[in-house]
Amino acid sequence: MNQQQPILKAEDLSKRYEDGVLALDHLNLTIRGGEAYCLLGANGAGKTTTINLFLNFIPPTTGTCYINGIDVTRDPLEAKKYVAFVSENVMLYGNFTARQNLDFFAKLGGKPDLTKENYYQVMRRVSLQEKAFEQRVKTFSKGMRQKLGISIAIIKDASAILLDEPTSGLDPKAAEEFLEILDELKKEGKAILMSTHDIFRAKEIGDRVGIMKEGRLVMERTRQELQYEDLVKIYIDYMKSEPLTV
Amino acid sequence: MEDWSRKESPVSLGKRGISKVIWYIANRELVDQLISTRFLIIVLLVVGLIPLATYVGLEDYKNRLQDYDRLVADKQKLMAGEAGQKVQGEDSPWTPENELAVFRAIRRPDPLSVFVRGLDGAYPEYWDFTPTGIEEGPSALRPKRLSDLLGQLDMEFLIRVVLGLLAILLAFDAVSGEKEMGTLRLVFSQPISRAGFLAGKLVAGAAVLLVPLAAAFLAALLSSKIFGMESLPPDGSLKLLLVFLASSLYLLCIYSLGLLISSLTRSQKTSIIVLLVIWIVMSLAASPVATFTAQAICPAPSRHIVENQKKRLGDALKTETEKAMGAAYRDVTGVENRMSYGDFLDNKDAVLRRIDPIISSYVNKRRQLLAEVQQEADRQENGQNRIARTVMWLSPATTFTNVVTDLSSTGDESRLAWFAAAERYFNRLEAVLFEDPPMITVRLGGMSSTLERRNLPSISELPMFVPPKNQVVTTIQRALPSVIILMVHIVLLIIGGFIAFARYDVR
Repeated sequence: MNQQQPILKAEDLSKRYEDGVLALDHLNLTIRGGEAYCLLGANGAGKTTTINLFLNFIPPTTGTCYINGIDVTRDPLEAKKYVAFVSENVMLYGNFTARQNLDFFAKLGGKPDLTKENYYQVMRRVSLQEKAFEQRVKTFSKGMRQKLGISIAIIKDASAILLDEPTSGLDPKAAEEFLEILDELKKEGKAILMSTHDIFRAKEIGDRVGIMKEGRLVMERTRQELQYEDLVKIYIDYMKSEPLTV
Repeated sequence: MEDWSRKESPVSLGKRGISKVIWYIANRELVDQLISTRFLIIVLLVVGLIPLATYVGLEDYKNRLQDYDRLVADKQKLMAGEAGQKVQGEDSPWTPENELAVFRAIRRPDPLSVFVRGLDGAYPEYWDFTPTGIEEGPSALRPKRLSDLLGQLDMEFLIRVVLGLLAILLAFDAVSGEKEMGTLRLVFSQPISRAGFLAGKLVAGAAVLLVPLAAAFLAALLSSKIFGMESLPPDGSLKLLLVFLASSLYLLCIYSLGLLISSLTRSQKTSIIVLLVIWIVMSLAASPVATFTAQAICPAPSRHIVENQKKRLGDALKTETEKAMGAAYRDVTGVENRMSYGDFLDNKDAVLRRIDPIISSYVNKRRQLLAEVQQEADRQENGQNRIARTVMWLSPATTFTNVVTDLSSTGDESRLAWFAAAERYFNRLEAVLFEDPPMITVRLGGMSSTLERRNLPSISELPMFVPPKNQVVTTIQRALPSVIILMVHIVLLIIGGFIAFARYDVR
């Protein structure tokens, strides 16, 4: 059993938007250091809302989320020191080079004293081509931008990493490389929360996998449990089941 | 039970002040803006147009200066002649020259009008003083074609319109652009406050806008030297520096407006459309709206009409008085069918004893009658000016025009100061000359004669015209209300921007 400290925790977390839609319904979730948790679900199931709540982009209707024990709503700036974020489509400043983007976000993340070589090391680690280091990001492909996005997360050296469908739209090789990096980060003790539509990769990287439907976490399985169960079938069964709100 | 105590971060992130965050954001923004195409295009446009604007302004100034020199030479010639040695105090039709022109107050064009033209060319070139009031000379601005009126290109215009547009182009996507681009999510996943982010944007915008502004001023000074402009007096240089500071405030104001709108909109397209509409209204429509509103709420006759009205009333009263004096002359001299200077001299004391009360009565009546007309006209004009200025203050662009024209002594306040100086001079002349006329005209039947009531003073014995103060302190005092309004605009827009951004959905 993983004896690491809990890094990400959602307690009775709900979010109802102004238009009345209940996007998240009493979510309880704990992710420890060195653990990867994958959230599966259809569009609108509440995966991105969960990540947005952890990043304090939106306030919760009820409940609390903690990063490293810090209440995100009460002290968002302190909480964000311990979390890195990679979105589905990492967008950076196009007129700046990869290294300049990395430098900017490193400084914002609380690392003002890194050298050019530090940035190069991180970019080598995510297998970004050397010639791209000093290239303007506006010329980058999606795969390159995703790699730079994870570089930003790595350089911040935060305890938790939130990823919102990070491999969506990547070619299989790039997606595989991405997951290898995530695996390394997990081994370094990071707590990883990843939302995804990709059932196979969720099973591959996730120590636990949760399925969300209409804002509720309707199923959770550990890696061990999934050795004996077919995640694809479980997922499709849940998706086909009657709406929860009826 | 789990130990949910706070865990130390594996990395020491250290304590950061908001100033560092502002610096990081500002630094990135600064570089991004300075290498942007829109910035380069606008800067080249402004720096390219400044020499043209300076040349046009300088030629106009030189022409007006020539007119001024000619008027001064004419006045000096007049003062050196009979009209200056024996001032009659009235303009007799048979006098070979307009002797009242010895009092003429001639306005020297302001050298700063080369850069900030304002109303300098539209002021009267001079003011004449007659017993019935002040007569304005023509304005130096004599447009010959439509382009003369529409093509007023000066530094104030370039800053207000072109650099104002640059401020909008730099600010419109500051927030909504980052949201649309997707960088806002990544930025706010970092431990930075919204206030720090927006303050960084504000600092960068202000710094970026200083570059073309400084370039414009340097280009203007350099062009004026190349085109042969006389050196500015120390006061003039200081005023120009104040114009530079006021321009910085204006650009900060427009940039803050851009940040506010950008923080209220979700897309760059909406932001730029809203901003362009606001910009057109405030920079192009605000002035005509101010004039129209002022005229509609408080209609006032022009100064020319008022002076004509006063002259008509004064002339009617004067003719009546001249007839009354003629009757007195007839009673004293007993002569009815002729008027001769000999008869007057023979009975001078007796005639003057009868005439003096008539003159006093005339002076009192005239003062009362003309004062009523003037007070009503002043009330209407002041009301109109107040309304026009208040409406102009609603727009940062027209407020800026008020500030820089007041600082350059080419604005409304300077115009009013000249009118006030002319009014003061008239009152002084009235007290020592017009209400105690050395010459009088008496009418008897169809005859009239001008008689010397007392010794004619020379111009040197009479008060001289004192132009309004034009020192830096005075111009600052004139510009201060508009400066305060401009700063209120800035504060409100910045506060509005921070409030809007605090509620902004950064997802």
